[in-house]
Amino acid sequence: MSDFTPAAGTTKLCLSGIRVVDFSWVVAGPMATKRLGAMGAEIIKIESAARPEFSYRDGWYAVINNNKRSCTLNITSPEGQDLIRQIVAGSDVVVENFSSRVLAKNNLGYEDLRKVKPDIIFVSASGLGRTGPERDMLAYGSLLQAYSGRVSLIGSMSASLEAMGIMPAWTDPVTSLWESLAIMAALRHRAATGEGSYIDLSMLEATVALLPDAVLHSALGQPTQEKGSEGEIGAAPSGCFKCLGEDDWIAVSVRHDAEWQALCRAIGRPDLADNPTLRDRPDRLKRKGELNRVLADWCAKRTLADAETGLQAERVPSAPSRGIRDLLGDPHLQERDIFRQIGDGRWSIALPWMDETGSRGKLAPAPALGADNDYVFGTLLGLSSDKQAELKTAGIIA
Amino acid sequence: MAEVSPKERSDLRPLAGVRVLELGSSISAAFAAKLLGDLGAEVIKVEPMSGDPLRQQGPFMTSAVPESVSALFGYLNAGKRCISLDLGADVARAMVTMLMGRCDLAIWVADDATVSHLQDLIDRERPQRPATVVISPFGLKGPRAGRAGSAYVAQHSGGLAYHQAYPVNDPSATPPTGCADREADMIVGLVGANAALWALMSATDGAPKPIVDVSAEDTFAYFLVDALADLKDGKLAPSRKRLPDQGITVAGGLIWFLPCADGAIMVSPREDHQWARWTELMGNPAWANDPALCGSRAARTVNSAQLQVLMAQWSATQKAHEVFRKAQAIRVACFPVSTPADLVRNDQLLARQFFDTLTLDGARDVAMPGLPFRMLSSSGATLQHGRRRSFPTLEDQELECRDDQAEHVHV
Repeated sequence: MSDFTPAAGTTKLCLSGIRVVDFSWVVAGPMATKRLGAMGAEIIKIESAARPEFSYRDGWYAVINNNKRSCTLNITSPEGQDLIRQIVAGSDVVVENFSSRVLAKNNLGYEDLRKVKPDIIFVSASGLGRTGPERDMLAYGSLLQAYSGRVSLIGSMSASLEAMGIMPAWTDPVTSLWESLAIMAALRHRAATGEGSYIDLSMLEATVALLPDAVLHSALGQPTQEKGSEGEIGAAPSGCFKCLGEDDWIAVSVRHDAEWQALCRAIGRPDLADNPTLRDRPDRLKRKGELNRVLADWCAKRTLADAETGLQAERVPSAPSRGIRDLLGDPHLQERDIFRQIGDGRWSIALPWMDETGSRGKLAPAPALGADNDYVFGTLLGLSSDKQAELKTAGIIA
Repeated sequence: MAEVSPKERSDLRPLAGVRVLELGSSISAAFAAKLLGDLGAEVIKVEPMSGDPLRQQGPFMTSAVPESVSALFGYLNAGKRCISLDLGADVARAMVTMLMGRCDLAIWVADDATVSHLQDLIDRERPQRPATVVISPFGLKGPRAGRAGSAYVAQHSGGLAYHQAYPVNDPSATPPTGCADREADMIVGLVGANAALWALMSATDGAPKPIVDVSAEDTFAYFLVDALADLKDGKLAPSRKRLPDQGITVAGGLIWFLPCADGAIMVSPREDHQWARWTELMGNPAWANDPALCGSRAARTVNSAQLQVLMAQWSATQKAHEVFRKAQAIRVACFPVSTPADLVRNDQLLARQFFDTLTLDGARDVAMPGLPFRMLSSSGATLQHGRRRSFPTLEDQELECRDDQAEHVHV
């Protein structure tokens, strides 16, 4: 059985007692159910013992499948489908992200499952949503970054996809956050009313929902003024500036008048602070390129540490741009305990928030394939050892 | 009780009965509170007497004098009850304390203007304090707590910007790349909304309510799943400098960016059967018959850059949307690179009523993003989509307050 010992401390396991049947795979669904597991829900991940991709447990899998139990069965067989219905009858939430007809074809769609669990919360995540003229299109999260318009707003388009925001994955983790939000809202609704829910989540919409500046400008018939990726929209100066080291960069953003005055002090330019044509934010925005060049010149003559110290001394929003190696060794993040080695020493990432005691919920290692079959088929469903052996022989469970 | 119309009866409001207090000015906090409001919570937003500075951020619905009207502010705050308070006045601070006692949840921006009051409440008002989410650039704990920052800055210190520009040919000339649009603020808000429900569901009667620390920097670090996995698997190169054998394979499979006559597409015919259909769509060019070049997924991975050049010769003569439709018709994953203008006329988004409408006095309307999921309860109630929301003004709302507090509150 998986290691399900809660972390020590005052963990807020507010979803204790909630059971989630998790058909999801790849990234978005697994990240959402990992999060629900961190909050105390019991996640039963339904996997296939026959398909080779499910045997892969390293890399991404180990980082996004914590806090779960794994059970393997064949959902294409009537007996396997009956077992699923029995599991769902004792569960609260079903999460899936198959292509459009898979679960319905296997008699496991929402309408099938609500017959055995009328108040089930059923979440169906897909590339473009389960309705609409493009609902059956073949979509991957990385391609939806193009369709959502995100790609056109990051860097410059290039054949090598360089600095276009294609990696790290964005659409999938973003979708996962919408997914957990919707599930928690549905759980609260169920607690208040006794009603279950069907949730149809679109990855395209999940991505576009975070692009208000582009949408609003377009809807108003106005051209988009700033892409946002090269500097903060509405802030001037703002951007990522090169310091003396070969790959040393510092991000700086000046959003309002007080920060502008602070910046002028930090870079020793009282003349700019006193310049009436730069006193107001709209005027500075019009000259953003010019102000960025002033700041770039200042940064270019300093080490990253000196630039950061000088800017922070005057409380100018600023920080070095860093990669994962720096983050793992960073005392601040170490104290905040977001990256952790668990189980056999593999690294994972805890909840992106913490309470006042420092608790980020549970973080248990990802399960081995089928590690919890005995728990699911024996403890939950009450199947005898003989019956389980019979189902294994028939290829229904693994 | 007011009579409820049949239409209203069918509206699903999963957070009905939850009251939220939003304090401080930030897109992240406003978005977190907006999401809770969109799900049925009542949100009270406290602004300074001069109004939230975001009222001065574009784009604008109208720039007519005396005051321009910010569509961004309207989008983030439509449906909220907006009041203004002078937090420098003791009586106003007392009002905030009173409001907190009447709310289930508070969302705070830990900025210079509110942090001292926040500390007061954490220290002294705990019995009256609701579950509280505090949003800040670097969190409330740790050596960088309290530093000056923003979500834009935090995406750099949290690693996402670095890895969005990884690998590159010339790290000294190619800066780490931030998120698009307002994504940095928005994603922190989305995490904040999740954290808010965690706090709400963790709160128990008679016990101190949780204080949840949402750090923008943590949010971006949380996204580094692949970087962390690659590092620990020994697959992460030591710097951002592109290695000679680093191609354009990204997670999940090969993806190609192909310029078209009128835009661009991205396509991922990753499996052999998909590749066969894709080459047929391209008219079976002679080079596609070379097994060493593209006869297997492994060959296509090794030769991805060369294949990009060859495919681009064809795609440059094609229209992006035509290729997109034809490719999808043969089950090849392909999408056009949308421009901002494409979004508001996207057939799929329109068919699903993704956009809400912000209206200014019924005279000027603008489409704005709505919730990205549809929700139907087992009784048939549905979460509303395609909603029409009025622009939030300070004058619109009424809130109970005592006479001696009136000069400090604008209702």
